[in-house]
Amino acid sequence: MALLFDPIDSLLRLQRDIDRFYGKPLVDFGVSGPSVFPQINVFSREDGSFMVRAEVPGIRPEDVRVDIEPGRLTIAGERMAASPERGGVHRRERGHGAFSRTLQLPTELAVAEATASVRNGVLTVQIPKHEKARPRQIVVDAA
Amino acid sequence: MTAQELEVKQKQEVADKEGVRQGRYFQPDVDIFEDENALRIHADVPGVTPDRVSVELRNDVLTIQGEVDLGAYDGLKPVYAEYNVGHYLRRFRLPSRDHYDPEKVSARLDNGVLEVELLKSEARRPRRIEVRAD
Repeated sequence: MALLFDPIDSLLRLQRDIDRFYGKPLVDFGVSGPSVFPQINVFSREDGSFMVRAEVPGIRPEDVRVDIEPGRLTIAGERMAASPERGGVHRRERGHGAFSRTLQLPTELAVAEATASVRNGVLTVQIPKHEKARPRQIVVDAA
Repeated sequence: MTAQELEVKQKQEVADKEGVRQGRYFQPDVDIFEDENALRIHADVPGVTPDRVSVELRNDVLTIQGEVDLGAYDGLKPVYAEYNVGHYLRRFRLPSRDHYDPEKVSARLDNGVLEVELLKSEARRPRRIEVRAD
């Protein structure tokens, strides 16, 4: 029986879709490759809006700075090192330090209406499409 | 700002999936600290919601697992991707010389970081013996 919403199936589909777009942008974001923190994924919606996502675990929302201007998005901040008050360190895999990353955005996006949030360590920047750039139907007058 | 720059680490996929889990599982990066009372593990699990975390201690093996919330990806089409989205899984064998009480394992999720604390059993804690001057 097919379920209306199968989370595993949608996860597999999402992972497949992501694999297909790995490092092969449909839109040129002017990014320097996946070696700069934070790594980003860019999604589009049917209405033409864009969503930029980045994994920023351990960084408080107030420690992330998102600057947006026409054609440009910059994500910057700093992740602090977690240190024990006392005792020793067995393993330290989680990096720390400052970061800054800029990507180019398609110009038809309405950067003034962009919103950003950090939830469960994931930064989400939503950028709607410019009103003028949205396709619209033209009424044909029967003159 | 510190001078250090934060570097990117590629996600490592978990190899042993025991054939029952679907979807991809990645190994979260961890910091592990220990003091005389407890072992503390901090694991990066971005995207995991508090209701989808499990932490289990059984026979000296600690398993941490977290599932990402996929609802946030509804109706989205990737146009550029640098990282894959998946669940998280990692196991640790704890030193058997220390005994951790499975009832005294606590966990919290803070900004995408799972913080697990395992308290050492009373008997295993070092204690200071007071020297009396007669």
